[in-house]
This record gives sequence, structure tokens and C-alpha cells, in this order.
Amino acid sequence: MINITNLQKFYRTEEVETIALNNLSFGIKEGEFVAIMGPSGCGKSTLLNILGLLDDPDDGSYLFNGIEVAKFNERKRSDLRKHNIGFVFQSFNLIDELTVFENVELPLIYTKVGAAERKRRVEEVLDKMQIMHRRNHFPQQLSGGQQQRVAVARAVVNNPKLILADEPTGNLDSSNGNDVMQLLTDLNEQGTTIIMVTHSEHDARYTHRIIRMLDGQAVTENILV
Amino acid sequence: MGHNLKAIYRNMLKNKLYTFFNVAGMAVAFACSILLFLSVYQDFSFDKFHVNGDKIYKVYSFSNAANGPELSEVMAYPAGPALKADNIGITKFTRVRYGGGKIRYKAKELELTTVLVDPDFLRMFSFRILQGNRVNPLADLGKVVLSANDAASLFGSEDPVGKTVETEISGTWKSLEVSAVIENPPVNSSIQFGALARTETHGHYPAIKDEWNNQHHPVYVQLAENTTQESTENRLRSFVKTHMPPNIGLMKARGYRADAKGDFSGLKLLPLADVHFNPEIGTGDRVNRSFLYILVLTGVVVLVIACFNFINLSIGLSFTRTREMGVRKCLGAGKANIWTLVWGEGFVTTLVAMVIGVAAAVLLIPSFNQLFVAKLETSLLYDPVIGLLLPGILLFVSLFAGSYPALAMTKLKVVEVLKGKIALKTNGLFRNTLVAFQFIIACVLISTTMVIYRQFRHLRSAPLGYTTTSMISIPVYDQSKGKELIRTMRLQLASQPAIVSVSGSSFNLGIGKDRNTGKWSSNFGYKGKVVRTNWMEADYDFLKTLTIKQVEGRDFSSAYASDSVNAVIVTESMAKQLTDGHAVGMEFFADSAQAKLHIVGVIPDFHLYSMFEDKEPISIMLKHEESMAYILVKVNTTNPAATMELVKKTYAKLEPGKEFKGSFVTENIERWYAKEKRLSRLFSIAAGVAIVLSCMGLFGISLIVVRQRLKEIGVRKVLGASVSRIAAMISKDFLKPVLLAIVISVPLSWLILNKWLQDFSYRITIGWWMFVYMGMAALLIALATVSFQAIKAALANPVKSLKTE
Repeated sequence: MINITNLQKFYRTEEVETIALNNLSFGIKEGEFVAIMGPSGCGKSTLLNILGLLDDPDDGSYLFNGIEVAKFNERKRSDLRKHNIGFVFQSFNLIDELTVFENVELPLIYTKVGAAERKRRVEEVLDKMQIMHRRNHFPQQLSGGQQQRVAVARAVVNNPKLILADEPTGNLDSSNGNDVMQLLTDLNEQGTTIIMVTHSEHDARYTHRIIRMLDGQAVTENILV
Repeated sequence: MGHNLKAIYRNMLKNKLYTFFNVAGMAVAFACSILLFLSVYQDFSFDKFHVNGDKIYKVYSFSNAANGPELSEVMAYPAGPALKADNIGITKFTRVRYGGGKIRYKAKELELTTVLVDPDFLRMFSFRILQGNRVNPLADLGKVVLSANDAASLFGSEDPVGKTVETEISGTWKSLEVSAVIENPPVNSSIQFGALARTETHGHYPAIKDEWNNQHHPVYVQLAENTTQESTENRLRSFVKTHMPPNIGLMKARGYRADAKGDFSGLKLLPLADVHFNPEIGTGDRVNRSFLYILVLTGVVVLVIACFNFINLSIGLSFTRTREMGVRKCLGAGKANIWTLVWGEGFVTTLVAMVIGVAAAVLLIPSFNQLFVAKLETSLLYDPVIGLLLPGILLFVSLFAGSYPALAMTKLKVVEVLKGKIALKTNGLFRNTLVAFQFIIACVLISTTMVIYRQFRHLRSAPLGYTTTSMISIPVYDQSKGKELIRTMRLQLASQPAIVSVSGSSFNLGIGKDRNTGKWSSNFGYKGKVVRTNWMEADYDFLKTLTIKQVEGRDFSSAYASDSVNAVIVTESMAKQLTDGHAVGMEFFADSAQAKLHIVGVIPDFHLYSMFEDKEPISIMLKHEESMAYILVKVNTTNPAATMELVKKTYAKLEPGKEFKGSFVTENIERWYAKEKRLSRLFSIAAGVAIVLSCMGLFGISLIVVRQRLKEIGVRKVLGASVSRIAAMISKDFLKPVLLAIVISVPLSWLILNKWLQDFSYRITIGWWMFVYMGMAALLIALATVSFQAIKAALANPVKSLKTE
């Protein structure tokens, strides 16, 4: 599903050039659940942003479902992203002014799904995430675990092929963290490819494979399954 | 759409204070600009409703005096019919003359203005006939046409058509039959009336209907379809030669000159579209076009200030929304989605502000009318042009104010936003530029207000050389009997202790309620040199009435029989042109056709005209003919209103049935400067609004900036910075653009105001201290606005702010 070859990303200031990704290459098959681990500043988040088409690489190739997307412009990236990729963030990134229902509904609005269909799909996913009873609440009225479940619901409502999770349990206690990891595992079992950046060895054990990074390069790969 | 509206509504609710500043600022700006635009629109719509408007002209006469053309709108009775009969391209005409002020039906009496016209009046002008004779309601002299309102007041539910009413015309009651009822003349009609009757019903008509020298009313004409103004004006030259040949010899002697066509005087046409805008020969409450452009500019400036507030506040506050926009982009929102959402918020703010602004404007219409002597009506809001203008302004302002913040949001980099690295790049330079621009406008308006007000006060209180207080001037209707009226009034008021003296003059002091002004000047030869003087004709007791002390000689007096033949009083500068010694007793010919004039007194120079003009030599002749245009009454009283009433009652006996148009000379002099007075009011209000809006913007920005710098303030406090130091640090940042604005606005204001003052020969000098006041006012206002937030932030507990961050 994903094939990256010699991916490079630099951050430049006037005086310093920092290499975030250094000739990184790996592949991810459809249906895989992969953890990316490594110390802070090793390039995990940069990699996730490039994989999520939020950022573009300076060099190298990125094949998504066989299509070269590394040189896509903003509009094409946005188009590909909204139909294929869901995001789960450490800090949930729910919009405070929107209710649970409206937050989850947002990706469907941007993909121009009709109102009736949106309602059906949002209710279905909220039900699945067991958060239906909170549908009219605002994010600040929910616990951290509930907020992350809403964020996961929002990430999957469009039935994306790929979910990118950036430390999804980082802001949660262990119980809520486990619940979220179970949710992601369930989604993966239903066929969604998941790439998760994490510092937690515990969370990484839910995945099939761990790619460990250091200084912008993949140093080891652990196959868990 | 629904999703966006919900998000906009909740976001506005979340940032209540910010929303309040934006809506309130915009609403104030809309209310002001709507009132100004409505007023301008109404003025520009004057007389546009007449279907034949482009073919209708007002005839006026011109005489090329030494110091510029003298224009007059009044014509003699035979002029109107002759203009039509002479086959010079004029197909219709109507004379328009004030007839009287009262009408009676059975026991009910009503005050209204009866205007005397000719049958063509209703064929030329588009006043719709509502009932009665729709073809020619003024076909015969016994008919009267009533306006709908007055017909309803007089007749109630009764059908007025065919009924006989008593109409007061030129002081006598006449029985006329109501032939039609027509719609009320709209506010934007220069010609206003309550009733229309035929010109020939005027009491003096039979006696002077063929006299070309007795001129008292304007004449409107309609040109033939294939005729132009120019061709008709060319034909009017021969018309003048035939019917009203000028006395060229006399005119030359009085300093008149021939124009390029060789005419000393003649007739011209004023298009109906210009009648509302011509200060000299227009009709009704005239207005200067340049004043209207100033109004439009003021409205636009106020809107721009409000837009700058909006942009600054939106950009300032956007740092709280970057994460939301980042998430939306991440979830698939394109640039258009983000732009629509952010701009939509600006649009909703503008829409709410406009609704409030329109409501406020409607409520303020009466005050506006009072303040600017306007006649705005709420119904103007339903005018289709205004109906299009308001949404146009809404769209323009929302695009102007909302586009930049929306565009800035679309350019956000999602990755950086989600990392929490950046707020929107709150470029201090951009923000400060907008603040500086607002304060430049505010400073220019403050200094303009100061200068215009001081100049107005300067003009109004300038010593004219005679005592203007406690003097009443009354325009005389029947000027041919002017001196007789003065004599009678002098006799009747002689026993009244409140009356000092009664005199008369050939033209008014200042601008009276009749709005007429006059000027007569001439050059003549004397002992080989050219002597130039302004002329005025007066009656006995002139110097006493004007409280002018003679330098030499005496006032006109009936004790000297020769005074009534050739007496003249001259000013010092006039005397100096004649002799270096004593002028009293000297004689000179100003006009070979007239008697030799005998100087009986010399008086100090004084301002006969407004302070726009320099003091010039003046010669005052005792009028030896019976005609006189104005009665002047000097009163000595602590109760001017009661004395005015006494004078009015006395006048009513002299010219029964005539509208009393007497006024205090101080009022007349204020009318000279009515334009400056209106400008002064306008700029003081505009300056006030600009300052309030700029301060609202500054307060809102200080609120946001303090929120952004809470962590920094906390850290500084922890490191030992004092409250005053922190407050000063924050305030200083805001005072920089204000200081820059002051520096820029000083030369700018000086240039504008100095240019404006050049129009006045008697003017104030712009003192440096005015700019000091202006600068201090701007600084203090700005400091007061931002220091509240700065002190509040400096006093806040640093632990809390650091924890929050």
C-alpha cells in the first residue's frame, strides 16, 4: 500500500540545516498495523506528516497504492487525503465549537456526502465507538478517553484505507489508553491499515511490526506477528 | 452552509467581547455612513422625478459687473408669456410666484403656501393629478388645485373637487373652485406648495402685467424637443434686445463690462437638474455639490476605519483559531472551505452590524435633520436605489474587511499549526500600519474640527464695523412703496421704548429669510483718476440704526432738505480716493445722468458684505425715490422675542397678508457662514466617530495582544519587573503607531487646512499650538484606551498566567 524510497526531508533556517528524514525507505502492506518508535527528534512525526500528505518530502519517492504522490500539489494531496486517510492525534484536536456529532460529521461534509447519509454514518460510527449517548455534547464536556474515542470515530467515519495515529494514548491514563488501542486493533482487524507513532512499548505490542528510527533513518524492524 | 453558520454563531458567542467590538464599531460606522449617504442621495435626487426634467430650465438674468457677474432669478410679468410667444424654441412656460399663506373652507382655516403659476405648470412638471380635472385644472382664473395633504386637512372625508374655497392671495381673500387634487410635492422637489392658483389672480397683476422693470418671480420654461440650451440661449440675446434692452450707458458708468459675446447683461437658462445646487439662482434649500462630495468622503472614511478595526481584531484573534483551521484542513477542508468559513464570519458580523446600523440610522434621522438642517425621511430606505446600495455596501465592506483575515487563514501550514508552533503570523508592522492610518484620519479630523470651528467663530464674531446685535431687517414685498412703509413704521414705533430707530436699505445686511443678496459697485472718473466704490441706498437714521459713528460730518437728516436730492455718506477709504483733506462738503459726479452727489458724512470703513471679501470703499446714498427693499429696526431691549413680535404686528398692518420675513441681523450674518457652520458640525461629529472607532479598535487589539503576551508578562514579573514597568512596556508598543500618525498628520492637516483657509480673506492663522493640542488629545486618548488592559495584565498573578500557558 505504501512504498517509500530514499525519502529525505530537511529543515532549514538561515544558519542551520537539520536532516529530519535521511534516505528513509520501507514499505507497508494493506491491512498492516505498524508502530513507528524512536527518541524525540528522530523524525517520526515528520514521517507521519509526509505519509498523511500534510507535508511533502524534499527528495525520494512515495508510492501510495502504486501512485507517486511525493510531488502532488496541495489540491491533489488534499483530495487524496480526505478520501483515503484518517488522523488520530495525541491531543485529540477536536473542534471546541462543534458537538461530538458535528466533529465526526466534518470529514463527510468535506467529501460532499449528503445530509441523510452523513447522519446515518455518523450515528453508526458513534454507536460503534459507544459514544452515541454523548452525541450532542461539546468536547470540553467529555473525559480524555471519550474525546479520543470521538477522534477515532472522526478518523474512521469516511472509511479510510489508512489511519495515521500520532501517539494516540499520550494524553490518556492507562485504562483509557488500552480502550483506544483496542479500538484501533478492532479497526485493523476489519481491514484498515494503521500506522502509529508511539513512545509506548506497551502500545507498540498491539501492532504487527515496529519500525525503530534514529536520526531520520530506520534502524531496526521488529516483526511481532 | 448550515454547518458553517453554526460554527460562525458559536465562535462569535465564544468571543463575546471581540464580537461586541466588531459589531458595535461597524454598526456605528454604518449608522453614520447610511445617514450621510441617504442625505447625499436625497440631494442628488432633487427634481429628478419630473419626466420632462431634461427639457425644463429656469430663466435667469445676468449682468457683468466689474467684480463678476450678478445673477438674478426674478423676472417681470410679461417675460414668461413673451418667452413662449416669441418662437425661440420654448414650448411651455410657467411663472412661479408666492401667492399667500391661508385657505378657508366653511369654518375651517388652514395655513399653506399658495403658489401662483400658469396652466403649463402641470404639463411641465410631473406632479400627479389624483382627482378632478386631469387635463387642464388651471384653465381659468377661478380655479385652485390642492395638494393631497392639504385637501384632506381642509375637507376631511368630503370630496373637495368642485367645492369653493376662500384663498388668501396677495392679502385679499378670493373665492376659487377646487378643480383638482394632486399628490403632495415630494421632499426632493425644489418647488414646494400646498395649493396652486393662476398667476393672474395676484392683486398687483392687472396694474403691472405689462411692466418689464417690475421683477419679482422666477420663470420656468420647457424647450422644444429638437432644441438645445445653447441654441435657445443664443435666441434669448435677441429676445433681450427686443423686450428688455439694457441701459448700456448707465451700466458702463457703473463699471459693468461686456462679455465675450458683447453682452453687458442678458438672459440664460439654468437646467432644472442644477436648480437645487445653485446657491445664487437656485430654488428652495440649495446645497453645494462640493459639500455633498465631502459627505460621501466622510462616510467612506468612517467605514474604512471600521473595516481596519475589523481586520486588526480578526488577525489579532485568529491565533486562537489556527489549530481549528489546521484540523479542518487535515480533515479535507480546501482553501475555499476555510475562506468561506472565515469570510462568512466577517459577513455575518457585517450583516448584524448593518441591521443595527440601519435601525440606529432610522432612530437618528430626526436628530440628523435638526443638526444638518436636512429633511431626510425614513421612506427613503425603501427607494430601489438605496435597496441596492445597502446590500452593495454590505458586500463591499464584508469583502474589504473579511478577505484579508480569510486569506491569511487559508495560507496556514497545517503541519506547523498542529505542532502548535505558530499562531497566525501576527505581523506587528501590518497591525501598526492600520492603527497609524486610523489615527492619521482621527488626527486630521481633530485638527480640521478645531480650525473650521475657530474660523467659523472668527467670521461670526468678526467686527463688521457696525453693531449687528439688536437690529432687525425686514424684506419689503411692495418695494415701490418701501420708503412710505418705513415712514409709517417709524411713526407707529416712535412711542415704543424698546425701539431706538427705524431706517431702510436697498439690500439686506447678511442673508435674510428672503435669501436675497445684492451688490452694486461702479468705477467713475474723478479729476483724472478712476474711483471705485460699492454703493448702497439708505434712508434717514441709517448711521444711528447701524450704530456707526461718523468720523466727520453727520447722518442723513430730514432737517436738511437738500439731503433728499443728493446727500451721500462715504467711508474713509472712499473719501481718500477723492481727497487727502476733509471730504465733507465735497461734490462729485458718479454718473453723468444723475445729480451731483454731496458728501454729508465720512464714516470708518466697514464690511458691507461677508468676511469672505475685503473691506472696500462704500458710498451710501440717501434714496430719493420712493422704493426701498428692506426696513431696518434698531431695538434696545432685554426681550428680543417680544420686540420682534411687536415689529411683526406693526408690519402686518403695513403689508397685510404678507408673510413676515423679518430677522435679526445677527441671524442674517450667521447665514453668510451657514456652510462653514454645517462643515464645523459635520467634522466635529466625524472626528468624534473616528476617535471612538479607532479607540474601540485599539482597545480590542490591546485585549488580544495582552492575551498573547500573558506568558511573557508572567516571566518578566517572576524575574522582578514592576507593574509600572510592564504597563509602560505594553503601552509603549501601542503609542508608537499613534506617535507616527501624529507626525504624519501635522503636515497633512496643515496643507489641507491652509488650502481651505485661502478661500477666506479674513482668516485665522493656524497656530503650532493647535497641533500640540491635537497630538496631546490623540496620545491621551490612545494611552487611556490601552493602559487599562496594560495595567490589568501587569497586575495579574504570574503563577496563574504561566500555569495557563
